[in-house]
Amino acid sequence: MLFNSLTFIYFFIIVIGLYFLIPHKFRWLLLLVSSCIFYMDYIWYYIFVLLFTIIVDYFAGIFIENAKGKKRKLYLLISIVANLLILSVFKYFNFINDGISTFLGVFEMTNPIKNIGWALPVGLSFHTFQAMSYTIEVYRGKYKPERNFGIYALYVMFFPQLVAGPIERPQNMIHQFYEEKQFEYNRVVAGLKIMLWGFFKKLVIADRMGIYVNAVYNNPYNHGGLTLFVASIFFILQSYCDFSGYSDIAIGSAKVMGYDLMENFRRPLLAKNFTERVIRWHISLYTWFRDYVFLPFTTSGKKSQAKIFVGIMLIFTLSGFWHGPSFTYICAGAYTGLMIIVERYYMKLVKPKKWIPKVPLIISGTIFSLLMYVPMLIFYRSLSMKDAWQIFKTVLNPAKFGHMFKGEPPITFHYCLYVGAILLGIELIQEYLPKVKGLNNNNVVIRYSSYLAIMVLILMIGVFNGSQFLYFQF
Amino acid sequence: MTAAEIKDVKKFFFKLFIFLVLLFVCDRIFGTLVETLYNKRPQGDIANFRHSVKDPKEDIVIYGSSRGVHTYVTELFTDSFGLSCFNCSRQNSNILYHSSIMPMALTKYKPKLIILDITPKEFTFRSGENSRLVMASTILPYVRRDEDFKKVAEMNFPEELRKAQISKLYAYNSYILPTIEGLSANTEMGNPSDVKQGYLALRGTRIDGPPPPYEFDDAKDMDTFARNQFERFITTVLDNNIKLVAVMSPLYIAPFGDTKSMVEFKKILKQYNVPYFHYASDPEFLKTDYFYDYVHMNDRGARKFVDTFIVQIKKYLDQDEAGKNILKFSPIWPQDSLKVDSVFRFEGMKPVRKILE
Repeated sequence: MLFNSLTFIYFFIIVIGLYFLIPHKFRWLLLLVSSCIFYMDYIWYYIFVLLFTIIVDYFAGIFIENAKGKKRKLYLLISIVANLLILSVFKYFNFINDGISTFLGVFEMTNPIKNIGWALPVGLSFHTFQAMSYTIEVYRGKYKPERNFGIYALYVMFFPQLVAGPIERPQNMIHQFYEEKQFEYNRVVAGLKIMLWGFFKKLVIADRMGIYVNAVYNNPYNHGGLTLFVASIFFILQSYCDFSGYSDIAIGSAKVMGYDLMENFRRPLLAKNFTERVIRWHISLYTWFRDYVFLPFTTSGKKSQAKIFVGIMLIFTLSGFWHGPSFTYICAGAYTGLMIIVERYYMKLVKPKKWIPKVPLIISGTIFSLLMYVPMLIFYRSLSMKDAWQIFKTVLNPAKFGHMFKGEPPITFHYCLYVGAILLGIELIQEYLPKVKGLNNNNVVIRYSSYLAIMVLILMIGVFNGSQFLYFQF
Repeated sequence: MTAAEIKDVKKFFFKLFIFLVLLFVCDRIFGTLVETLYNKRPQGDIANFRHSVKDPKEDIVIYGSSRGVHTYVTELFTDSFGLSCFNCSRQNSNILYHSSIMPMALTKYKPKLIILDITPKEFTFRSGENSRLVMASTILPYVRRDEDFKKVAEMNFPEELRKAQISKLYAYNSYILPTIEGLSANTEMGNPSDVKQGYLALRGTRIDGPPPPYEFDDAKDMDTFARNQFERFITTVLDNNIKLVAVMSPLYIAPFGDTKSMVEFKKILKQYNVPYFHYASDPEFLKTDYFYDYVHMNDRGARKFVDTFIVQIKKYLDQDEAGKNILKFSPIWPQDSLKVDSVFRFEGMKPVRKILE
């Protein structure tokens, strides 16, 4: 079920209505059933795949708690292997098998194993990582295993964040399912406002940008460097608004019911340097890798600068691979890691002169780090390494600067400029003038005008083609 | 529910009601404003569309995508045949759009000849999605005041129709910038106010080097709905005893084999004896001077192509009138393609009406 569909709106109204009408003790069951319906709207029988991982991790948690010594590690390992196995089979099998075929091809041998043609269960990478964080936290002794199977299943399946995060932690979520939630006007309205802003980002900005970006990136060979560069900049805005729009709808819809999900984006476009931008983008994934891969890797044994650099490269390359079985994603991840290391060195070597005013420093840092983000997103958006290479060659070759393609019709490009300006204006206000409020203004006229302005813009320039969220594919 | 909760629920619904009333008022005010602006500027695509379906009267009518818009120089047809000509092609459209628009025009009058420009990915899966949206955005502004348009909307995009019936503003979704900026403003792909009988000339070229290989991903499944609409288009034209020719106009792309769509539409064209003129990658036109970009001809190329095409089509029509086999005049089917004994005969032909799904 897509958040940007009428079906979801009907579904949400019914679930919310029932949620507040039934007694607290049955609410978890309602949420679990609703989450199953939500998930089964895609490919219904994949619910059994999800059920398998839920059962494995549920029992693994209890066994880890009850076991001692090496057995604890063994149960954790079983849980992690089971989760990664499911992920590998559905997401990475063909990629690995193709690699084997290529390798055997060098020796003129054929690979007897055929690729599989199964569709990827939606949000597999998200709920797998969320499930893994549960067993790891239990193993570390930071969380007592959940004994109520239904509640644990709900932790993995909670519909607002089931298919595209935020990737939650048990400490933040599970206790909330036990708390009795009341219908609180302020909280419900706050949740709806977050949802409204999410819909705006998705329908008005991301999908509008997507029309132009798709037109360019689907035919990269037909465009000059200027067009490809501009399309890449627009893709930054598109992917940010698409994913953060989804996260806002998820966070808002959970909030309406009384649940607090973690923040997933903190205006990354306005970050003052590259590292900050990475940290403020998809926070739940970044912190997952930090807590469960980077810190264990760098803090075990002897500490060294080299180990930190290897750790940075490791988590970002893995994070690239997490996005999908493609060399473009791996390169995007590796590039991110490399840029963070370069920036660390640069920051140590070059201290900003004190006489330089702060504002130009912030502006130049923001723009420069945004430009440094472009290559990463070229990798992410390119359909193949060949395409990515072609785009880099074209963008970096002044002779291929070319004409500016404005889309077909050209108004497509104008829309991108306008909605981009709206986004930038609002984000600048949120970042640097937090006291200026629109949706949360105390003045009723300003507040309602803000609601209506967003609704009118959605109706007037929103894209209603039911396009999927980019991150569903992960 | 506790008393406090009930109080909050009441407050919520009361405020929601106020918000919905205000939204309704805004929707009507802004909707009327955009409607007024929209009706004030009936130029470019919108004007063409209106003419195509509401008051068509030309003898020769052309349907196609943006390639059609920028290729078929209508005045050349008029000069050469002594018949009036209108180009009903539209940006971002494909057969789904044409098959819905054309029957509406036929209820008003019957042209003598229809030319359908086809692309190599005409039936590619989901290729119709964009076209359907183009059609929706074109038709929705009219559904409140015209039953014909409402019927088309009901048939092709009922959900969009429902939304447009609820929200006046939604019916004009995406039209705000074209109306504010003015459709007559200079744009990259030509100035819409320069449109002549549906033809919009492109000037100059933006490409260099040899023609690139065809990069389209043909592994995608075929859109059977688009395929059926293509068949519907043909049967509708032929049932009305109107001459129909299908063309693939030149592309600046290296010669390529038949795509899945091409295999399928050739089969259908053969089944209904509709002549097909294949100029894609024709060496005569593979010059950068003739193209604006890889898929759109510039004015120079368009005139050169139309001149050539008119010669061929004249030969075909002359021969056809005499009832001879005109195959010898066909350059046009690729040698290795279908056997076309009777494909080019119209006379005495009785089109077979196939029940469409």
